[in-house]
Amino acid sequence: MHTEDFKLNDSILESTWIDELHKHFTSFYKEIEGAKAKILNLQENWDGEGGKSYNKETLDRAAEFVKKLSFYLWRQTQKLISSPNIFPGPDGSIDIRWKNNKFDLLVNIPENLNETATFSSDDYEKNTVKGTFDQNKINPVLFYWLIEFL
Amino acid sequence: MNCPIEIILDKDFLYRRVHNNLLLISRNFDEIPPYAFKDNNGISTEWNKYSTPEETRQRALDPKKNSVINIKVEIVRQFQNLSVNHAPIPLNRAHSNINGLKTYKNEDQTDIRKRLSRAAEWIIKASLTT
Repeated sequence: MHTEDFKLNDSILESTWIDELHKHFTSFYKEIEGAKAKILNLQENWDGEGGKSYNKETLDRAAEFVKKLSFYLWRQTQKLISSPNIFPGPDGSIDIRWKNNKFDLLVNIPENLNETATFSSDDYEKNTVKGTFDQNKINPVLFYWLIEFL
Repeated sequence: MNCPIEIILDKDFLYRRVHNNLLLISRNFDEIPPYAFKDNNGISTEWNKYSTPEETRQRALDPKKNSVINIKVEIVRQFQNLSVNHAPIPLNRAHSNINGLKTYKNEDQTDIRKRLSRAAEWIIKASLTT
């Protein structure tokens, strides 16, 4: 930190901060949309074991979950979460995984909107959380677990 | 010829093919996707007593498009409802299944797929340009 930094006026600080935030979320959303496009391109038997193709609606729900979660985390903590890996899941579901040296979290969004989504996370030691949640709501356990690692 | 069904020991390893389409989706090619442990009437694997990683790969419809992971049997059996069963089929004496994943609640299935994918290791990683 240089002393000149304190001389910046509020408007410059604000625009820099907004620029950074904009850059982060633009790149974050781009990665999510890129993963969606790749999964949507998978044809029947894409894995050589009868793997089915994926519904756009399921992928949209998974992407919306990731975007909402990242936004609410930022709003609550002013910290930014990295973008997750988004994978095809079993039976038309979508797997979303955040894995780094602090924690490993897998969220599964089922194809059927009426089924609950599931999650499991651990910190590679004794702390683990897992559970289910309504796909239209953010699970508070999952939310506060993630805040610990931001 | 029918091969006898044998007991697989905890110290043994299982090989499993992973299609490169799955790797191409990942942003991190080192990470084994949890989909690698998708239960499709059991999780089909090959026992290292009767197969090599390359032989497992060659049994794919398109070997060039497949990678191979391995996992120690003991790790799989740490999950109470999971069993590892030798299930030889014609022309593949090594064929074995991991059974029982779907007996778990959905959140436990998610947990187990996460843990198995973390415990497994790449043993052949195909070139993604082929």
